[in-house]
Amino acid sequence: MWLGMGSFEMALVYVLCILAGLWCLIYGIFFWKTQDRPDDVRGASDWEKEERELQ
Amino acid sequence: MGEGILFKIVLTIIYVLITLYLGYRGWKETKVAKDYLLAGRGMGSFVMAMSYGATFISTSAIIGFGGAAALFGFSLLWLTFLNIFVGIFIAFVFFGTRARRMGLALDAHTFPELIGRRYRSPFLQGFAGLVIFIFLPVYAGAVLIGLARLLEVYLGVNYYAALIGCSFLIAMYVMTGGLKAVMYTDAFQGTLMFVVMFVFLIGTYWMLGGVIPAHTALTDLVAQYPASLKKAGMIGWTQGAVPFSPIWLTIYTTIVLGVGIGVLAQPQLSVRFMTIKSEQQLKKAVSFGGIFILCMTGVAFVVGALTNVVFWEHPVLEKVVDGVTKKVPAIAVAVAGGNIDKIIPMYIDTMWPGWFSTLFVLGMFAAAMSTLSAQYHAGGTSFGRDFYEKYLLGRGDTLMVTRIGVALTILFTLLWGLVLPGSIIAIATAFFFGLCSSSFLPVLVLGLYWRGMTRAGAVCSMVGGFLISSLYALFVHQKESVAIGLTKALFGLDTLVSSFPPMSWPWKMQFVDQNVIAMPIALIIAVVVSLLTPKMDKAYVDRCWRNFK
Repeated sequence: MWLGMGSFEMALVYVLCILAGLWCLIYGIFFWKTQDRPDDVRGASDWEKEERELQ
Repeated sequence: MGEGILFKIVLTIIYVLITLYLGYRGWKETKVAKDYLLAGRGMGSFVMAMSYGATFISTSAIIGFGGAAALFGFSLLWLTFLNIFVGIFIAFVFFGTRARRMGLALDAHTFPELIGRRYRSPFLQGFAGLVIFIFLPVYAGAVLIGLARLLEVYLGVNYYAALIGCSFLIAMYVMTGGLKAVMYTDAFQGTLMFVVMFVFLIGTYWMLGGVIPAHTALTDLVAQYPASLKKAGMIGWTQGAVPFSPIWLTIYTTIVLGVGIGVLAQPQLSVRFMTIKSEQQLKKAVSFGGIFILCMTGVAFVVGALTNVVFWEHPVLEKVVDGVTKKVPAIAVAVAGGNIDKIIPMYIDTMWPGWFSTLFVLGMFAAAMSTLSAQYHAGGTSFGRDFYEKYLLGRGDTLMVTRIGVALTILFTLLWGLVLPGSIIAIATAFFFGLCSSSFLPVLVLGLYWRGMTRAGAVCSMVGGFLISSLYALFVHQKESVAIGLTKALFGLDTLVSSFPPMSWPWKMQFVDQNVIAMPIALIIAVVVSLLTPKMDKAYVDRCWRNFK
């Protein structure tokens, strides 16, 4: 049986764990390479004031 | 004083000094409520990922679940897969980025505040805050008990002194430095945990001759597998369980789904997404988070299962044979006298050198302290920002009321730690995970992704999920129902389904986690009620959505 395991399911989950970890590593590294840039997000400077205006 | 004890004390002092220094740095940088509640929304990828991971993984995840893996074997690795894929990748890339964008648009400072403002409902914010403030200390109590027991065994400190001393040490930096202090110390503690677990894995495989020989030896040991577990449906450590048998349902619904999916709705973890300084930093954090979790639960489960081979090939269990005391081969649970919580500590004590034993215990301190500090902070903000300011006396000095909330959370955690036995508290931990999933997850997910979700849908889903999860745990799910004893007192039964014929589906429901029942029902309630009730004001929903393209 694969990897010395007693069932296909256990060999599969062992490999899936390693692949998931490597996938996360590679995904993150892709963003290491790109230059850090500010977000296109707007914060609410005074949420309660905005809320009063909206109402 | 022996050299070994001196080495332990010196290393412990160095560890405490570094922790206090990082706590002091957090305090120096904490000026306003945003710093205390959200670490100034300026954290980088490494600190955020390590803080998320170290908060996620407590001592029980390594020692308790590692011991459980010595019984259930590699089937627990499904939890590791879910921890990485759902708990890190899906959580960071999909939920995290969206929660951060909406959190900024609504100027939300806590997890309940994000939900409350998304639905324009102070009730939801207060209800979520109260649920967290009441039930989080029970979960924290479990972690605190583990930490105090560890100190008692490792340094010979009195258990009650350890309980109070640990609470005081963590209180010092959480109350003063807020989330900045918590996250800086988490990053240091997480790094220590990573190094310890990496060495633990390499050493174990090296001891057993490599990866495949170690697995093959465990596969060949199947004849020694406990008969009681075989009867309940397990086949072996590397063979898994019979599908839909009672033990399969316990492993896959409680351990794998309950904890694997439940992590998405943990308030002390979700708030981390709102602390990071940019979306790009959050995506960078995926690499640190994924490898960290693989090295935590992945290593604990693999090593836990392999302790059976270690104790079989290097006997430590002593038995009297023909009047002579001999060391005989035995599986891990037999070596630990039936107490699975002792398996990992016994493996460390009998098979590893003293220097690693000391490092491992420090790693476990780090795991417990990083989880506890986040729980104290989340409990404090839930009381101060979400409950007190919404329901009691209106707006106050957020920093002051949150610090009072942290102090109250620490006090309640200490009381749980003093009053309840460890077995009850471990059950309460699973209960908290289930409660968070069914109460918060549908409301959070639909709130982030569906403009048509209404306030009425969210209120019905959160209250309904809370009630269904609580009632199911009290009356149907065997683990909580038997421990609490209310069903026995009212109906004379262990659970309401105990009287059905054994192995029938109604009878098997006592092994199905409340998450699997309550969360889908809460999700259906949210969708149906939202479709039947008036939509929220379009201008308001546009405001919630203004950071989404």
